[in-house]
Amino acid sequence: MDGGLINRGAQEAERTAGARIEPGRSYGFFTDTTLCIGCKACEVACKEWNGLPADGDMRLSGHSYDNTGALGAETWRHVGFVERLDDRPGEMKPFQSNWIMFSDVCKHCDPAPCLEACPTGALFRTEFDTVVVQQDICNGCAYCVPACPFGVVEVSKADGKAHKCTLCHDRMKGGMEPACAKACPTDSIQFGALEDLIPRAHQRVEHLHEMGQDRAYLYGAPGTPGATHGIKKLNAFFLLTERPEVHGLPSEPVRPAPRAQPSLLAGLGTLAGLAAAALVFGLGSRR
Amino acid sequence: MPQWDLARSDVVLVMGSNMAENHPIAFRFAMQAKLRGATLIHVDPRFTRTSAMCDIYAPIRAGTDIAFLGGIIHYLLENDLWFREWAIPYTNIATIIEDGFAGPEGDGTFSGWNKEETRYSTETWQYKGLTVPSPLAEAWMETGGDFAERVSHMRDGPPPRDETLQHPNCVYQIMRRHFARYTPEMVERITGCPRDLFIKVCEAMARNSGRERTGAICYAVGWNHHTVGAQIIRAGAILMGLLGNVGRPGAGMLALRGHTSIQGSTDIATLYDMLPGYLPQPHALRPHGTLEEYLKVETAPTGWWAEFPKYAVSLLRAYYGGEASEANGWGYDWLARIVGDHSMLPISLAMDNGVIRGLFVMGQNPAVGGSNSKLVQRGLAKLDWLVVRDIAETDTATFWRDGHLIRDGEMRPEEIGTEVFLMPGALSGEKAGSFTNTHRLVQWHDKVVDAPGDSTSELWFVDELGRRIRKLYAGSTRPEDKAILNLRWNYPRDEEDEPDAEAVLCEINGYRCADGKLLSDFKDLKEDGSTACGTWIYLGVFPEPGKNLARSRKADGPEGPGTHLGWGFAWPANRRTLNNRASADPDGRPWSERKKLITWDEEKSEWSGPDVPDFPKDKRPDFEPDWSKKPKGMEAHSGSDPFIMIADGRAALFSPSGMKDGPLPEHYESVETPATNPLHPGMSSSPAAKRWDQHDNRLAPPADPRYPHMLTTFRLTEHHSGGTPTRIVTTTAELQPEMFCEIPVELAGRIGIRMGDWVVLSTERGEIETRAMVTSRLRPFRLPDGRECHQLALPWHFGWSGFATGDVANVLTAVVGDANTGMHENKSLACALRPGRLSRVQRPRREAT
Amino acid sequence: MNAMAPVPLPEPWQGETYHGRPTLKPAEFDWKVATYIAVQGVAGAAQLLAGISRTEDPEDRDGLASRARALAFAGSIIAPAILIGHLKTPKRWYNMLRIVRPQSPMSWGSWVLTAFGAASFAAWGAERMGWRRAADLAQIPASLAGAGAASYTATLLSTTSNPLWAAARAPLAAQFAASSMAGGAAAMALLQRSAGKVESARRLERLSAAALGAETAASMMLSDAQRRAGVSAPLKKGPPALLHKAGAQALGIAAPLVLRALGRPALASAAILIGSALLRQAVLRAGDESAKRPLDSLGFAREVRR
Ligand SMILES: Nc1nc2c(c(=O)[nH]1)N[C@H]1C(S)=C(S)[C@@H](COP(=O)(O)OP(=O)(O)OC[C@H]3O[C@@H](n4cnc5c(=O)[nH]c(N)nc54)[C@H](O)[C@@H]3O)O[C@H]1N2
Ligand SMILES: Nc1nc2c(c(=O)[nH]1)N[C@H]1C(S)=C(S)[C@@H](COP(=O)(O)OP(=O)(O)OC[C@H]3O[C@@H](n4cnc5c(=O)[nH]c(N)nc54)[C@H](O)[C@@H]3O)O[C@H]1N2
Ligand code: SF4
Ligand code: SF4
Ligand code: SF4
Ligand code: SF4
Ligand code: SF4
Ligand SMILES: [Mo]
Repeated sequence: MDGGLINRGAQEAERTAGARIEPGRSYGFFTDTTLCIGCKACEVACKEWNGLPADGDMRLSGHSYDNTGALGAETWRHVGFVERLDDRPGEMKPFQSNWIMFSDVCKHCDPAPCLEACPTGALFRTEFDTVVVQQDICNGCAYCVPACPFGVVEVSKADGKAHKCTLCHDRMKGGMEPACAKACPTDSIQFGALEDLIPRAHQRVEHLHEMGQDRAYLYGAPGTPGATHGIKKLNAFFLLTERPEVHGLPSEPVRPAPRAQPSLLAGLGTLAGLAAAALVFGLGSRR
Repeated sequence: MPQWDLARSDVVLVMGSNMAENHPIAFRFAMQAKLRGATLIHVDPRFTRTSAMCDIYAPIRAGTDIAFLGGIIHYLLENDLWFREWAIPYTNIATIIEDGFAGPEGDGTFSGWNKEETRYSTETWQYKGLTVPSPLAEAWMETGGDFAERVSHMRDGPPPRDETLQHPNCVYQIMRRHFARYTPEMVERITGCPRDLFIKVCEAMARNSGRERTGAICYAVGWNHHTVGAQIIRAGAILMGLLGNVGRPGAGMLALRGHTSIQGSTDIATLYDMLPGYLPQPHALRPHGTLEEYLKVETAPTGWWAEFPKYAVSLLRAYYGGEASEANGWGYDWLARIVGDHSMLPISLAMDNGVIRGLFVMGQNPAVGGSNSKLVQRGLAKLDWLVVRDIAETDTATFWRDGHLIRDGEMRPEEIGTEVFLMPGALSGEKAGSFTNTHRLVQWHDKVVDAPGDSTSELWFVDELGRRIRKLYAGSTRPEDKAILNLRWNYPRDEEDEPDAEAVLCEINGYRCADGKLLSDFKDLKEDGSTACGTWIYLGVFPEPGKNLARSRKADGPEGPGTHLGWGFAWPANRRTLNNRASADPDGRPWSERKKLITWDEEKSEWSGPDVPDFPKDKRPDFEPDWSKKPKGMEAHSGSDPFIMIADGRAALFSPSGMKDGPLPEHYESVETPATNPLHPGMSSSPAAKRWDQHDNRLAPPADPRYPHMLTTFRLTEHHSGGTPTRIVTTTAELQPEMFCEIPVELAGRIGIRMGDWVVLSTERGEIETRAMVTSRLRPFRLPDGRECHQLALPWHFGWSGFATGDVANVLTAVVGDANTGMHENKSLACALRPGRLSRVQRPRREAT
Repeated sequence: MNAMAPVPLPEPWQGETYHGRPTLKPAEFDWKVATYIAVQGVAGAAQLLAGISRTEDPEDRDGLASRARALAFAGSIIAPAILIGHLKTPKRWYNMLRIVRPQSPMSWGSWVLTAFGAASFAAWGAERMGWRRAADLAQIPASLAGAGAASYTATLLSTTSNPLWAAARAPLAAQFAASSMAGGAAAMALLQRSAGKVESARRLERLSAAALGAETAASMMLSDAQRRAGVSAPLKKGPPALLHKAGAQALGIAAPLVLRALGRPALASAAILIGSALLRQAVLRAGDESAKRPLDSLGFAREVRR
């Protein structure tokens, strides 16, 4: 595929993110919390690009500077804030510390529990190895909702369909970097091919360790917390300095699909046992 | 300095700004510096999103920056950690000051204080035996005798200096005496910042300056919005002067400016006392009667400002075109004269006092942004008419229906006679034009979509207003109407009836009067009326037809050099770093390879480097003025005097002229404060600050027990200023949906306030209610006298319009101003806090008819 | 660096969560889904009973098989209709039949439902037409599909990230299956009773009592597993817990035993049916509560269980 409609020659993404977008490769985000300034530009850019409405109640939440709360059908990027100031620090660890800001998004899991749950195929894996809901297929069964181990996807009350981040599938098709990553002023959100992002992320962790930020680690890259129990990788993976739980992330997410078989066997076995009992003792009148 | 140059800094001190939140794009470069190993420091009363990214966060009590910076200066001087080789030749540190100078150590005033007139006479602040004109074009100041004659002695010889720094009245010795009081202990007492932390900041600043390293200070309105704002900035500048952090790569004071083109609006010239390009507005009470007198007293004898007449005459030619002639003083008489302070604050009072009858509000929301908001709203209610041009119905446009006067039961809508005209404005994407950013970078933007409905651009509106007014005056013979009728007002319009914005830029750029040929270098401007120029500093932005350099978009590649000369146009002369002569040593060699920018090329006999030199290109570093010839202008500067706009070519650590409240920064408390000033308890706040005492603008005395808390106001990254653009849009409104007050946990615990509770804040001007945001990001301080004090903070974006609403924070603030700039003091005042809500008068519902 | 080597987390988790906010989304499967599961259970079990009855009594002298087929068939129509009713975009229900996704119980479940419906129709229709052989032939897939339809609903819940449902996949399935059988047998007992087939009804009542016994055993294993996983709170306190205790346990298990002892078998059967519907409703509601409890979900995700 060449540059898409808007750009002849070089794709816009090459200029803004240094990433060339080609079908067949895996793309995602490396979101580095240590670079996040909590400006919420990503959250706004996502809503603007995708025409999403406000979903809050226009009330102060009291949860630090987070008033949108969580990812959901109308919020596909969400910036969380955790204050860590009880010791009132003066000198701090290099890069973001003491007020932890974290921009969350759908993880585009591989394999993706939501996708595996979807009975209609509305959720599908794209040519960019991302996970997208096809709005014209989804029937609102909502089964993807409890399937997601990260509480991301949600069925909208407004249109009765499941919604979540598309990793800007439309933009990617046009050779453009996703809106949130492009808007991020500090490159806390880095978009690119995973084969580039993963080594870069490991280097960043080492760099941070060298600088004294010894708590930095990756979450969701292959072989790291977040990519556990059947989930090979999160295409949107993170660099964290706090426990995942602090951000509302499970430290060891589990792929639910393997639970089906033993469950089904137990159910059928129980029925079989009771049926056998019925056979032995008989159901009809004895003549 | 360019924002992107921050990436080359070794230390970035962010003080008086919440840079990450309010200047996120510029902060990107601070982050890049950090990735390269720079130290980031934030000094702020609140732990903010900026603080979270820094290596050191130093909390201070609002309004105590001079004490903090003075403490760093003290530390550098006493430990001899300043950059001597740079500062001795490039600043006035060795210059000798008049014998009569006395500092504020005693009663809290510098020598020259006139108690009756509450202002300073600056005679004793001068260089010994001289009268120094100010480094702005506004050179004139009140001195005894003939001003022009007195300043002309600058041409007699260099100001007296003692480069051994031994002379008791050389600036170095004066500074040592002055700052001797700013010990780490005193810094801790005044600012509340723990001593060790303060020392850490001093060390980081000193460590990262010198030949091999440079540092930058980023500030914004956390410094400006004080009655001592200009002096805080001076303190920062002195610090950078001592450390050699001026004119060099990764060095400088980055004044992070506000609205998208607020720099542009100061350049071309919304300030009441400035004509475009920082030329002084003629003043009725100064010797500005004729053009000749005006030029005589405002032209500096030495330095670049000696060129002033060329700029002034060319501006008049641009204003009045063919109507201007040598005979009528190029139309000088038609310029409006000022009679005093006509800035925002006196205008608010003038409305309130019924002096001003009508008001245009174009792209402003004074009901929210104006100090002492209820006074402003009372003023609006007294107007005959009010025109609001904005993109939405602002709080200012609806003050008569939903404002605080109505809510508090002070007035009813039917009692307000103001006729309000709300006119829709076009947003930036809906019109072509330029923005000038913090870095003086002029960047053009095209129109991308049509404005909806009747929305029109400011350009169209002002052009149309001008045309119609001129039509109304047509035929008048009254002399005063010439000011309107003789204006050159001929802006071409395109097919859509929109004035051609590039034609305006061409006029700003300047042209030869005879044939209209565009000029390309401000050195070509003439005093003889043969050239016209709208703003001399912008000359070169449009050097030939079709070549709008503000549109150029060629960035340097990763290999550098990183000055990006092909991106936009940075005034003046597309220069990226001002005073960049100082990036070389007096002999013209780089201070170090790492920090090289402009150097003297002996072979070509010129200054060269990746930036446009801010120095006469072929002036040798060893050039010495020939004083026997009474040299003028640049001839009076040596080849190693880098500061061409300053009369003696050297950075003014000590400011002999130009400041109305002292030649050196001194710590004064804000006008309202819970503290006493330990330096001079009898002179708590700046004696020269502008105060307007009237019944609805009362001030509480210092340390008034009724107002025990320190209050500051701040911005949220989620909202913009008066809030209209962000509160009417759900995507941003939902991010910070309600007004709140940040309250430290200790105080909240003591008076029983929990997160989200309603609280009432009050000052002498009024009361507001809001929600509590209880947080450890604020911390308790000790006042100088040892009492505990709490810092409270309000985001001031809220009003009654839009989705995200709340009380107007500025109900609490006062109309008081900085002596130099008239800037309000909305960043530090004293207040009271209590849990609960206000009882509001409920407006009776009107019957449907 | 070896990308595959797991990196240890910085420090042990102190139980902190993000402002106490939920980390998962509740499924918000409403009363329709609960009713669907219950009806589906009864219908599936009925079809199983029809099969058993056919093997036992080819003549169907008590009319048990015939009635069971009719009940199953009715259920196989009503249940999907209720299910479709719960979809947020019901007119697109047929998209379920676009694909087969083996990992998704919802996907193959809908195929099982379809098969169940078709086979139930065939068995019922053939019998109606008097084609007994054909009916018996259809009975085999109908019974198998019935077994699937009666038990897959627990799998549907367990194959999610919902801590309460996922924590004990086997006991939950056993509980649902047993409850289905109890409900199916109770429903058939009622039908048999009203048709005057008291003897058959008694046997069915005994079967349903046995199923209740199995359900009780499964429930105990279930709460044990949920307790061990630290996710049992929603079934201990609050409205779902009340529903569970009063509806599923008291009305669905204890009351039938008492009623039967008091000689009110029909009432007992009715209680079983209502109880089995309330059980599903309680489990769904408790699941939503569970999703909203960050400590449950995060804790569960650390104590990995699949
Ligand atoms: N998102 C966003 N960006 C903006 C704006 C906006 O409204 N929203 N407004 C624009 C405009 S017009 C401007 S002028 C700039 C202003 O930019 P900033 O100056 O960064 O804005 P503020 O938040 O008003 O004030 C900055 C900081 O000063 C601190 N402060 C208060 N008092 C003191 C003090 O005495 N000393 C020190 N050292 N710090 C103090 C406050 O706690 C606050 O963190 O931002 C511009 N950018
Ligand atoms: N307490 C307190 N008060 C303060 C401050 C503070 O820090 N604390 N900060 C002060 C500062 S630095 C500033 S700059 C002022 C700002 O105060 P104001 O200038 O009064 O407030 P803004 O909201 O920036 O007003 C800009 C208006 O322009 C409109 N607008 C945007 N684009 C266009 C356009 O193209 N055309 C037209 N016609 N309108 C347009 C917007 O909708 C908005 O209503 O507030 C000052 N007040
Ligand atoms: S995070 Fe959730 S919604 Fe996103 S791909 Fe993974 S399972 Fe699906
Ligand atoms: S709600 Fe839509 S996307 Fe989610 S599982 Fe059902 S059909 Fe698939
Ligand atoms: S990738 Fe696109 S859809 Fe996803 S969060 Fe970013 S902007 Fe929103
Ligand atoms: S745009 Fe970037 S820096 Fe801003 S909140 Fe989002 S991730 Fe953080
Ligand atoms: S809002 Fe506009 S001006 Fe302000 S930082 Fe963002 S891009 Fe720059
Ligand atoms: Mo501003």
